[in-house]
Amino acid sequence: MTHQELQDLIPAYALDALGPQEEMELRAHLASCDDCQALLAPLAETAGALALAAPPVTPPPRLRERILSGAEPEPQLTPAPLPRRPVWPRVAGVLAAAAVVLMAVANVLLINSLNERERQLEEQGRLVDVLASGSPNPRPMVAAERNPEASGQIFVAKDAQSAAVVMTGLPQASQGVYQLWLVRDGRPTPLDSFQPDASGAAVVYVQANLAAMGGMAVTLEERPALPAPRGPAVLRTA
Amino acid sequence: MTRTDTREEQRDRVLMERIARGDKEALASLYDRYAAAAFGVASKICGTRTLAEDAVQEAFLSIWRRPGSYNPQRGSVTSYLFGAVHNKAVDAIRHEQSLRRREQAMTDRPEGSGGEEVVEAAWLSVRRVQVRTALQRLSKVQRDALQMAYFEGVTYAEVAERLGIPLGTAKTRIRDGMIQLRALLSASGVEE
Repeated sequence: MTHQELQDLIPAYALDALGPQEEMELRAHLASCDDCQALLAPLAETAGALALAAPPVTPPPRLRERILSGAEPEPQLTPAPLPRRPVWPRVAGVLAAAAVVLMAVANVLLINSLNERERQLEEQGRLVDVLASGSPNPRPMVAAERNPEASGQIFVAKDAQSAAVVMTGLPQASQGVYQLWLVRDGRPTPLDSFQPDASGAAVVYVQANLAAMGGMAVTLEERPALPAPRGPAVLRTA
Repeated sequence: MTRTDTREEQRDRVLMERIARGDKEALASLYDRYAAAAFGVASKICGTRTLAEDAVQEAFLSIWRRPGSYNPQRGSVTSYLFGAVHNKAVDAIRHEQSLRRREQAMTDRPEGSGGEEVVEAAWLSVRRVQVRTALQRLSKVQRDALQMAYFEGVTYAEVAERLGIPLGTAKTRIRDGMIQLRALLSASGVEE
């Protein structure tokens, strides 16, 4: 899309009224375009005011309780009765060994609140940098048998210090989270946990020394930041 | 922006600063200030009480968990909060992909939406009237496009399809409507 075409999408973007593809493109553009960011800010304010056109409705008291009890120092995730079959050794066997020290930075969801977007715009900017400097042949990730629709690609930046992992076809994890792993000497190291957007897509930005990266995998877990995978495999490097 | 709005905005920002420090009472205060407005817009978009409650809950908890994502340089706390609620509500109904279910559920309107008295701060009621007045002053085609996109949670492409107009026309109506609305709200003091 041209700059003008992208700029024309900003009002609809402020209303959460873009399709996933356009939204992704515009967000990537916004990360590097001050003019477009300046156009967005007042329209986001206008969109916020539109909320007041809806009649106010008193919520039930339980909603307040739910929110306050959910507001704990650590994010609370509902444990889900996920299958606990020991799939990791099988996955690990497929992955090549690699020596990497890794730090996960962020997950980027396609659809998010406007201000959350701002935070994500920075990440998106980094993603664009990664994609722009990445190898022409991203490393593919293939689906485990239980999620044949899923696929992914790993774009490693030229300096091998960061990567963008782009995934599609992920089923919604209504209870639990997706976890990205990196394998080192056959042992998995947790990277970031994430949720796909409504279309089943997710982009995770990884910052780490990836010079000797062997592979990555995605599992579905009950909660984030587990030391080792317990849930079923969803994706793994081919 | 009126003096009252500025003062209220200042209060909101103080609440956000306290939330950023993990002050749960500040979250409760923010909720009490805007729960009816937030639940109102979520109910209008979602149509069902359950989805609306979930959207409001997710929005407030996302603010609690990532308070740093609010940038005071970029806009007001209310637009940030309502933006989060709108986003979660739209996400919920798109995820549900259940227009039919939604229509059925509309017959089972959320309790409280049937003219029940809602206690709301006077300044917020005033602002509400200003927004509705501004909306009424848009051309009908612009208003329809904006309301469909915002309150029905559809993309501009779906707006075009539903209204039977070309894609470009839908985009233009939304753009012109937003620009016009912004001008009207600025003139009435809702926005700076």
